[in-house]
Amino acid sequence: MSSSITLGQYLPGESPVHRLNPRVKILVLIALLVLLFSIRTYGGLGAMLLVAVVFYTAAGIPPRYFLRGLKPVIWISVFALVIYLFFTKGGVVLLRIGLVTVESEGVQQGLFIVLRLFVLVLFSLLVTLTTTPLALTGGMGSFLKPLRIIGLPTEEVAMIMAVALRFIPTLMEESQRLMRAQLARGADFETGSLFHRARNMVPLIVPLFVSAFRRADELALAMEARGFRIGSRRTSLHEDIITAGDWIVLILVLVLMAVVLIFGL
Amino acid sequence: MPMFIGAEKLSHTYMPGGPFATEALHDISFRIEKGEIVLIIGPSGSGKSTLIQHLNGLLMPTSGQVIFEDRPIGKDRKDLLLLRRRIGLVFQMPEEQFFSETVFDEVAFAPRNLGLDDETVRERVYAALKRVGLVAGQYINRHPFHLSSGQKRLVAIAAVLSLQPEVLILDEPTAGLDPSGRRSLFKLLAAFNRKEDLTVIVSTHHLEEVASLADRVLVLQEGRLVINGSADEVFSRRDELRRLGLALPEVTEIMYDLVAEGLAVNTAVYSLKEARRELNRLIRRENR
Repeated sequence: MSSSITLGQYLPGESPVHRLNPRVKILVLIALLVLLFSIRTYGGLGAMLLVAVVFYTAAGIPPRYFLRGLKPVIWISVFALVIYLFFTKGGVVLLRIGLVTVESEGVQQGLFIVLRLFVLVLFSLLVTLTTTPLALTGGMGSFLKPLRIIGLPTEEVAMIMAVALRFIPTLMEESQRLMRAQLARGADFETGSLFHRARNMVPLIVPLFVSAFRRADELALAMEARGFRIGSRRTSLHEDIITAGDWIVLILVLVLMAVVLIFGL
Repeated sequence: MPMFIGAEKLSHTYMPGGPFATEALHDISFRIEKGEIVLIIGPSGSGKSTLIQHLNGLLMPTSGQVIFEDRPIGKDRKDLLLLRRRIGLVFQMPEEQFFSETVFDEVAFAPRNLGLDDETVRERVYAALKRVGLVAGQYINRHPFHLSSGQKRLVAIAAVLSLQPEVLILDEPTAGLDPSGRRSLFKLLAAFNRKEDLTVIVSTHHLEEVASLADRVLVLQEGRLVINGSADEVFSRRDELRRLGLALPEVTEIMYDLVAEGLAVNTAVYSLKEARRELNRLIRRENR
């Protein structure tokens, strides 16, 4: 139970990073990711890593949170590294096993790719660790606003995302409760063939669907009772203000971009 | 008396070590003997459900242990499967677990999981439905989702009774039922206990109909066991219960009011029947 909710889950806090405007965070994240992919040298990568470290320190996030976040990409990294080691040629031959060689260019490029992946995950994780899902969807929703001109119901789309996110923990909790309830009736979710195990999920999935539909119904009624109408303008309780701090971060990131591009790091 | 089921210094923390860590149970010890009816009461959020789920090994203590027949409940999968056969647990709103298309399949789920043959499964389904007072023939082919809420609750209880457990634990079994549904359900539980010698553990915050049945009462508050005693002992501590937001049955309150008026009545009265008897005694005494 405790392990299933770790990856990138919002970590409540009051740090300057937490307080940044979600729209600014999304913009900065996009800028940093673009930057990350235009970087060609280890020096540039080091600079990006430094930026990540600065952000994490400012956010006051204990190391074990982002270390745990890196775990899922370890296998991809190993895979990428192996591919590069054996298939990228050039430079000095470091190792020769029969016909297979490992050459210095491969090592260099492989390590570069893996490091870049790690920094990428660090940046993305920072945003989800310091922003509530609701604020995040709100931010994304406001970026979608221009699409209104071509007739896209952007506010409704943002609402759908917000509701979906809001109910993920509820459904997780529900499924765990159901699982225990069926275990109490002698259900078995762990043993047997794949087919068996899939069939054993029925006592879990059917009630989960039933309750999800019931919840959806109740939520729709409750929203309507409070005046929610499709196509009507909504106002927000939390005003979306861009502060001086937000501007400073945006400008710093722009400067960083300029430096990287000018000096060709 | 040997301990049948109980806990020793049981504590449970949800999501330990993280920013969301919450201690749901703290240092709880108690013992329940075979054949008792035990009430677990406390305000919502006091840890009743968490405690109950420890009793058949669905949750594991963060520290301390749960004892069944003088042995601590361990993590071994086989032991746990055996344990869950002997200790039946009916969850809160158990009809929300329904997934079958007929009442028969719903009640048969548990015995089928035990790997019993079709004939035995059929016998158990009929027996379980009979025990909750439903005529099996009228119900087995019906869709469980189409029953009334009271019938759903009974079928859900039958779906656990079909395991033929020695201990029956129910978490808020009367939640969402009307007063008459509550009364008949508690009558049923009393019958299980008296006629079949089933050990029954019930969590509730509705003392109204259930108080007269209990042998023992455990009161939880914020994850701590604050009172543990016989029904009379616990219900005589009216002020403490009130502070916890737990109201005594109306009749008991009336008895307290009568005492305040200067009448010599016994306040250990939890049902209308007992109240009538007590008041008749009072009237006879006054007439003499």
